Amino acid sequence: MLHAEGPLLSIDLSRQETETENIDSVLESFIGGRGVGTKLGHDRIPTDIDPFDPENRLYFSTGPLQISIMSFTGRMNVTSLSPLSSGLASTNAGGFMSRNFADTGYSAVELVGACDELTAIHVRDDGVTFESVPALEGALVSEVTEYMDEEHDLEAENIACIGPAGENQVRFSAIMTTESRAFGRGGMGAVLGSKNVKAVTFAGDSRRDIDIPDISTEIHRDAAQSDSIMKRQGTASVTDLSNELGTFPSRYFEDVRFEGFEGINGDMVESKKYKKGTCSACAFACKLPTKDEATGLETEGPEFETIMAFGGNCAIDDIVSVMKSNELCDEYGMDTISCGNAVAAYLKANDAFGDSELVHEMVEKIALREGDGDLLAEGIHRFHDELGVEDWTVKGMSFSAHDGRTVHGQGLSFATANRGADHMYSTFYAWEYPLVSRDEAVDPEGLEGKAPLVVEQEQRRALEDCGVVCRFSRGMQSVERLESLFMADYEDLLDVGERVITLERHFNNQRGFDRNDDDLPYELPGFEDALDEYYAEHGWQNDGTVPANAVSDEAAAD
Amino acid sequence: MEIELKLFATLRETVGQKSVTRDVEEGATVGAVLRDLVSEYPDLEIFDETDEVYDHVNILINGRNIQHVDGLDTALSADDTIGVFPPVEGGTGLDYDSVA
Repeated sequence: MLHAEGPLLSIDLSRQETETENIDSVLESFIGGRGVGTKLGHDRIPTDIDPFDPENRLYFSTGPLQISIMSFTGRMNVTSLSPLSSGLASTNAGGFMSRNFADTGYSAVELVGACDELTAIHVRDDGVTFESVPALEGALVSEVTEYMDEEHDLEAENIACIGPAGENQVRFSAIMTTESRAFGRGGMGAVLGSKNVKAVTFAGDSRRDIDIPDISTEIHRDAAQSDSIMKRQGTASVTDLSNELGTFPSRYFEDVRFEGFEGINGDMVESKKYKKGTCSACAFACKLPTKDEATGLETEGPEFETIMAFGGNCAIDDIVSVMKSNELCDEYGMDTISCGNAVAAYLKANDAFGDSELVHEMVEKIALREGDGDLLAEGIHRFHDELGVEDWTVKGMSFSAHDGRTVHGQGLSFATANRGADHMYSTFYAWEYPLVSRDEAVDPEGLEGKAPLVVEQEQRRALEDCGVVCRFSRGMQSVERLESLFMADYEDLLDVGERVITLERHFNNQRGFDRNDDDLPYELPGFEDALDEYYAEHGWQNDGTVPANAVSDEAAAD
Repeated sequence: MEIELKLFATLRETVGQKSVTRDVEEGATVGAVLRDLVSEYPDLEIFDETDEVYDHVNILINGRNIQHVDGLDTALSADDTIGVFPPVEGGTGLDYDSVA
């Protein structure tokens, strides 16, 4: 089976010491990316600590494909104990950093402990340096990039950093890379903030030599030849369809459609796009550099989920307003979904839907923890009682679009996903819209028979996160191609995904998560039966926990 | 009776309008209405050379995919809205069978 190569670099931030460790057996079992981060985090992060405890560990990791020239591989993974969900969580970002990370020669980098003062960590193939950076206190992401350019001749694509939100431990702050790309969900920026790490940079000349199967060339060619509308409108292209289907939340989840969608849809984003944008090696090039000529505002995006959170859910029908929210989140370093939903909750509590100025004011206040922003920075699950609004979260993570009240299988996935209410965990909505071939489509109504289908897609998404392969390769990844690319049988590949998901769940069970946490703020027909079926399909117990022997069997397989 | 046809993205560009209304007989089918539209706009990419709806083209009646109703035989009632979408997020834009 194809897997990443290279040792683990462990960085003790408290002692400012490093250690290199052979993790070949982990790489062989878990391929790379989320699998490796999850296996290491599961085994090494104490299960009884607060996410902001210095003993929490954070992992950067790539898969084998980050040394390749294949489209859809410009991504890499971060895993840690999430301050938002309080469970083990992984998140990945696009951009160009994965290749610079691969150039260090490490397959994964672990951060443990905490620095005494604000610090930048420079990871090179010939060693690690710790740089005290008090001048970067409160710096925006673009200011960190500018500093690294001037002082170290580094580019945005060498840098993972946090903005003010991460320093202030906003529970949905992101780790930003390549300026505008986010390790978005789960609050990993706050973990770096709690460790006093403002930035981690990666560079070197020690990229591993891995034989990538020839099928990668075919996939790359298809990406280049595709005339998908994503090349013009990115994920924003799905806005109209989502709204028509009734999966587009609006007014803090009061409705599943938004009457103002045509002011913020893919056509509007395309009208502001001024050049092509992409990630490393990717000929699909679905990114969205945009500019509003009237105001001079420039940003990258918004993507569909940002359009939902800052558009529909805030009842904003002006694309320039959503672009500004997007840019503020990128600069302050926050997940646009959780931030937009938190602001939407605030608008609901204050009867202020559609107030664009208030939206932008609250984004900045959240990042700086000023006034009511300090409360919102805790995330909806922690503040909803005080604001008197409903708790639109699962496991502390607020919902993305593709509303499960309409696409019920996606609803089951929102409920059961280990990291919370996130669409990327299984992307099951794609089978219910459908965005896949018609003969693979699933009726969005009801849950009967869907649990095994949801589980298979969870496993495939987990495999992609090990690879690391972008979700939007969906149309070009047949079972046969996956088998060729990873040089293994489909069942064995799904088994890798299953072991990743099971380790996440096992870790979270030890922190008290069980069936009660696999819940939704709305009812779905046959939900409890579907949960039973879902657990059975995974081989878990009916209370939503992993049997002890499942993890010991997994450990024995190492 | 009157029904509304809403077109999106590239299909909208072909027709030059967001939506069109049509007078049809009670019980007329979605397929018949769409075929009439294609004869009016031959560049409209809804049906392939075998007269099947292109894979990844989604046709909704009042927000529900016709695939889960009666397909192209889905009967229309007064004030129904048909939405027609070209391939969107994650769609390949390729005839996948030819490249698999």
